[in-house]
Amino acid sequence: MAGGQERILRRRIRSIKSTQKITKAMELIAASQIVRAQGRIAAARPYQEGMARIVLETALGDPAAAGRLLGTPEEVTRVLVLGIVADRGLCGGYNTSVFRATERLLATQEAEGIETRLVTVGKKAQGYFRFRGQAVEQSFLGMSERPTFADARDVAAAAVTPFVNGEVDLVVVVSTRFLSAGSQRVEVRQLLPLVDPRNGEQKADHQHEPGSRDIAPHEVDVKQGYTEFEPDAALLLVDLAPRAAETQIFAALLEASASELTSRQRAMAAATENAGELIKKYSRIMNRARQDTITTEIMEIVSGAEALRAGDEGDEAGLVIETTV
Amino acid sequence: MADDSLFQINLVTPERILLTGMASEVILRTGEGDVTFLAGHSPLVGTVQPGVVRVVRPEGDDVRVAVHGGFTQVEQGVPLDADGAGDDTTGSRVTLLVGVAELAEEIDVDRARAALEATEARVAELGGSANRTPAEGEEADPERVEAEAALRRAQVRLEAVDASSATTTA
Repeated sequence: MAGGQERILRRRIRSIKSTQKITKAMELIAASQIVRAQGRIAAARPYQEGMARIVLETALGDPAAAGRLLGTPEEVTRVLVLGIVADRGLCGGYNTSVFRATERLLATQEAEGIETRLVTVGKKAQGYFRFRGQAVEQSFLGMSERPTFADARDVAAAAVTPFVNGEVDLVVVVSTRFLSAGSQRVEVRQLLPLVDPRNGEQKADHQHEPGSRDIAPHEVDVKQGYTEFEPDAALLLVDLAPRAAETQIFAALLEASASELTSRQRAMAAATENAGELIKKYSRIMNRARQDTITTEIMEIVSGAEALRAGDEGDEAGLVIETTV
Repeated sequence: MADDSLFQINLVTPERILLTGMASEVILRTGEGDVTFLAGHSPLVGTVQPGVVRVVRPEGDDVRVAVHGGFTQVEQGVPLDADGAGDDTTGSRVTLLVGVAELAEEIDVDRARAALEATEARVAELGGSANRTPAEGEEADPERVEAEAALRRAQVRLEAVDASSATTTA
């Protein structure tokens, strides 16, 4: 019995060890990809900043024309929600926290009688919402780990077009923002109408940007009314809004992919550590089992010898001593 | 150090900065027609039409870029530090934001030509043309619109290469 248990434990330890190797490898792969993902976020920033500057300039150029494309709509009856998660699991609470935020949003909107359409990125979202009977209008797969701008365009076609056509009043994005390697946060952000750059939020964002050479907001105010527009600001804004939204979707996808990788690295590091602990625990049990077997065997030998000695009296007393030592 | 006839040019795509540095002239096509930006151009925001953007470097040579639509902004009084001298001069800056752009020198001519032929065939099949404006009240066929856009991209790409090889041989 004891020997059998030892064999079972040895097999289990071997299996945990190979799992540990896999989780370790996944951790290292994620870690190396994070660096690249961060590089991609940095490389995309000049375009986003340029876009933000142009939108601001244009909004200042023709405040009246901004109308439906900028700021918060007064009456919201139809909303499109874009949820961004991963294609794969094995990344801790990354997907679940976005799902929770999305469901909370959907629930409050339903309570307010707002008609909601849902578009998702990531294979996990497709499965999750289908299982819960939540209709998903369109679902994008295969881009979560390494999104390209072309991917962002495809997503924008599904998420932005209904707004441009006047089918929805508001487009919001639920995704994970990559604040730093150590901190990511799920956020619900308004995509369209564009957040009015004149009301601080984006300006505040900009000042956080270290080393950014943006012109300070007050300088822009001075220049107001002096910039030419080709075509005029109102027309330009109509062209600009979808492009700016596309840029923000791209940024959201990039940040989500970096967050996904960070979560995966963290989850896999924890899994590797857990496996190590399990191995330690099972090795202890196994060693004890082995020790038990040895002790039992010695006991058997000793008692066998005792019995022998009891059998032929006085015959070679030294034997007992030799076997027990 | 600060040369008044130069300005900063940034040609940016969503995935990277394609071109940055000083220039003396930038020629491009906006929604309202072809324009040339020189240093000191008044602030402007405009659209960029698909076409070839020509950037004239301070040394007098040009860089050609095939762009497939975007926006441009001209700003004045922007801090410039392109020569890395750390002086706090200001000047004009031209920013081009384009979704897709290719440097002429990076374009593979054979591939571009093949793409042109393929897209031409596709457009012909769908009964469109590259520079067609849709007729009044016409239902836009998304497939044809897409094919026509692809054809225009192929044409622009070759135009950039042709013009660029013409200047090097001349």
